[in-house]
Amino acid sequence: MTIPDFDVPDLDPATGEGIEMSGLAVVVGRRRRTRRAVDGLTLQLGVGVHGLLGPNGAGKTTLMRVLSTVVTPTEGQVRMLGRDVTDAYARREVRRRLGYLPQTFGYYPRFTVREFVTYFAWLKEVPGAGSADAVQHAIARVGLADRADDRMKTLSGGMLRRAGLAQALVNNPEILLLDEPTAGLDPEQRLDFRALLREVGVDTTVVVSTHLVEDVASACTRVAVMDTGRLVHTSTPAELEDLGRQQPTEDAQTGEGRSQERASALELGYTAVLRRHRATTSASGARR
Amino acid sequence: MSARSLHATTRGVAVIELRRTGAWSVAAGLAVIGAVLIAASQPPLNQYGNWSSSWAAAMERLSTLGLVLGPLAGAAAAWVGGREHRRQLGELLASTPRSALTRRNTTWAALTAGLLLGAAAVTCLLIAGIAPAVSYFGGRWPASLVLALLGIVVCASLGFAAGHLIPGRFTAPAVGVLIYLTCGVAGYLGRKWGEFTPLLPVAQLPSDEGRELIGWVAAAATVWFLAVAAAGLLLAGARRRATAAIPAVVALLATVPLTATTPEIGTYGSPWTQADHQALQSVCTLDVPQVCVAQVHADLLDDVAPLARGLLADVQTYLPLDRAVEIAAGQSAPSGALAIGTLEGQSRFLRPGLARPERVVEDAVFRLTNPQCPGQELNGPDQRPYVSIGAAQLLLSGGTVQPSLDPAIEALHTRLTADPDQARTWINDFIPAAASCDVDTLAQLAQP
Repeated sequence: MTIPDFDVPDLDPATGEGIEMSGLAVVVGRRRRTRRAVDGLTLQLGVGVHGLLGPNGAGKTTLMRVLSTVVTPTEGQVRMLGRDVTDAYARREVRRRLGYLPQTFGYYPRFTVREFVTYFAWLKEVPGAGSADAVQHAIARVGLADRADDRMKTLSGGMLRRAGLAQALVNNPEILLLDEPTAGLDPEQRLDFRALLREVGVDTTVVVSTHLVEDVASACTRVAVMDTGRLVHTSTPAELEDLGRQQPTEDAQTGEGRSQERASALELGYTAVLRRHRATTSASGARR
Repeated sequence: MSARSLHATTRGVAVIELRRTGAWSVAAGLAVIGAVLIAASQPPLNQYGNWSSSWAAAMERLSTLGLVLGPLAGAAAAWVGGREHRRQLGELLASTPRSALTRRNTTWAALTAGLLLGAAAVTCLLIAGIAPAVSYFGGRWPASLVLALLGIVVCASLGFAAGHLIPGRFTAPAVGVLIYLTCGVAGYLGRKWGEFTPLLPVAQLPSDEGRELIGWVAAAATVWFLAVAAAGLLLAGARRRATAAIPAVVALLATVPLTATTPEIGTYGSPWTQADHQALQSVCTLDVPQVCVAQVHADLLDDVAPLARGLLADVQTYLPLDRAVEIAAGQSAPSGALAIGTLEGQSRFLRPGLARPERVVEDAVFRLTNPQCPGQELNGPDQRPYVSIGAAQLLLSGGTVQPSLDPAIEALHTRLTADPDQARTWINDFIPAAASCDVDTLAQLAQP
């Protein structure tokens, strides 16, 4: 099996105003239970929709939390929109231009959708004069205009996710971070959601952390794969699919090969990338 | 609601918070609970309830109601303070540029506005209760009102901080119980801790008729409450919690003069208060026999005058008294005057006039006849002093006061009324004996 090797970083940003990470490391846990959730990550992300794939525990959510400026990296540098986010003033400026939907989306159940999004417009310091329009626009973009005056507690899981996206979009962000955004959405809602991502990604740096390769296939312009805190692959989704298409032929005589035929090419490419990384890591560990 | 009616300004968000923190419900709840407690303390629900139509009494009652309103305010604030954690919103909120202090203060301010609205509604009810008859507007009651309301603010601030710092479903009720116990138990502490109790946010504000807060004490207490509230808010919202130490130090400095106050010599009031001479100034009838009451009870003069004159008419048969004067607690009647006990608590609720006129007569008679004993001198097995006292009460009140159904009292009273001269001599022996707690003389006077 031959797997083309991708150099990192190679997610060429369309502009220099996206996200730049260099030697990023985040240590989590305390005392003897510490581990490097993100380990030496160097990456540039420009305008477009960037899929962040990886198994559980790969460090995707930790990376998203760093990018959302909630977690301070232990090592390395992060520049967002041309600013060093370790500086408090710059961080505040970046936050004004940032949209974030965390994996666990909390909400105030007594607020209506409009109140909730208005509240976040205020938190994001959207100027008061245009805020009502911005709120209405954000709600309409996620397809909740007809439920705008309903309380959050009356919404279904999918609608809540959309309300979460509305709060992320209300300040018309230049960087949009979405952690597992399609979790809990039904197939139709996922299709709508992906269409929205493509629309937003035209002029915004969108980072989508997900398990679902379908999200990457249909919405992302670039994809990065993480494993054990490290960046192991970056490419376009098409390139990852090409990689996957090579897999069934090579393993066709095995049971694994037959089951892989049923899997999507992107899934196969993703799996191959992970296996290659793990094999490399094991080999280098054995050499040491 | 139209899309344009909500703007993401601080004011607009405060309006949202007013609606969604439950501030309106809390305001209504406090108002209803306050109204129920006030009504429950008055007839017909409570036949023994008392009421004073004065600002001082209204403020005292507001402070006492704080024992319920304060814990409720603290618990509500703790619940709202813990909502970010409870709703798992911390991470999302932390990614926004607005500071946590601004964000949480806006939430707290909206809730506290509701709490103050509820407390204000209770205050309005108390004012409605005194309004028909209030006769004295002095006495620094506005300062007392500010401090009583600041107590609610302090409860809200500390509760909010506790809710934020110790997130959990049991924090809110625990905060309520803690405030209730702290402020409630403080009233039972002895003299050693008594000087600290007014520092508590609710239920311990000194407010008595005829006394007023000392000016600088009111100012220092305001600083104390504001500083404690500020420390609570900084603990809940500041990025560096250590900044709460600044208002905490200010609060501690404010306590130094407050705990160093000492009561005026010869007074019964709190060391935070001083005599309000204007409130105690006599207001008298123009016709004779003259009846005088304190300015703070001037509204009751028209009701008290005929009662006092009726009693004077009976008493004058035996004693050379020509006028009746209301005296404050701890004072004695001027020479030649019938002492009327303080009229504090004798007003009717929501209406002018005396609630129980008979109590005014009883009190005046008891003041004349009850022995002024410093100890347990009257606790012996000998019942004869009581017979004398009962007979004196029957005699002086013209039978209005019925001390007991003891036949010995009846017999003595019958004998005395049969011979007015003998009765006059008997009373003139009785009064000094009662005043000096001469138990032996009182026993001798019981002989039929």
